Amino acid sequence: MAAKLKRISNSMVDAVERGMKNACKNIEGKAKMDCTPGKSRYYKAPYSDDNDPRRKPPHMRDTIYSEVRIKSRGLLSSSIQGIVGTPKEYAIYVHEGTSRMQARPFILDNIIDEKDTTLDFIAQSIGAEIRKECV
Amino acid sequence: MCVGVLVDVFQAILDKLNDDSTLQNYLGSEFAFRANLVQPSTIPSITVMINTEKSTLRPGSAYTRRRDTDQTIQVDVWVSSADESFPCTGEDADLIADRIDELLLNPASPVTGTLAGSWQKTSASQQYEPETRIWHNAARYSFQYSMTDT
Repeated sequence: MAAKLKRISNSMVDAVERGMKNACKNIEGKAKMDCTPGKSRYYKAPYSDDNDPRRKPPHMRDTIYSEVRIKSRGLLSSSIQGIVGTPKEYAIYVHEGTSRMQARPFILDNIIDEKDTTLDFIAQSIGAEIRKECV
Repeated sequence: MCVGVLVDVFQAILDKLNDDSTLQNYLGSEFAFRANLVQPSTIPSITVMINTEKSTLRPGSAYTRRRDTDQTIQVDVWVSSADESFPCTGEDADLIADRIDELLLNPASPVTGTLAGSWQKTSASQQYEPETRIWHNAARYSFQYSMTDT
């Protein structure tokens, strides 16, 4: 029993990492959808034509990425961060708005909206890990 | 159909900002507005816009008609570096943003109509717009309020 509990506690960080990866992919997908004309929740999807000479392709939607960073793996002090972002310089102006353009927080809105789903992904991953030891 | 509490809550947020003497010292009178899709009508100013909203029916809502709403708003501070007097720098915009934090996140004095202790800051950023020479602080806050369906 003690050995099982130890194995479970050791594998928890990996389980949370897997769950967080899925959650981040989910938010990444929703953010990309919000940057797609016709599918975005915003009045004007933040999408630029690849032929627009002022914008170098790839446009912002195709640069949105997600990753998981593990800062520490202690039993009670694990730090696991899910990151969703884009390297485009103008993304911050689209996300936060400017004096001439309404904000379209295509990442933060989805983080908030998908909070329950994010917790479900992590809970499922932890549950699967525990079940592995219990059968 | 729902009772229009949000309108009251939104107005209460604007009133709380407009009535604060510290912000009045910084920005004059009537400086907080609902954000339009176009640029802020005056600068320096504060604009407030609704981001996301999610309502959950309370157990027994068929009888009580009560629902709880999670709301996220964006509060923007606009300061022009073309001005020569305060507020005209990024630090000045930060100072105004800090005061907004103190007002909205104070659990002892919640915005009228919202649940005490439910206010949280979810993001903050500062950008400089070189073309218009405007400093822009954007902060998002989430809070809860409950309302009665009619």
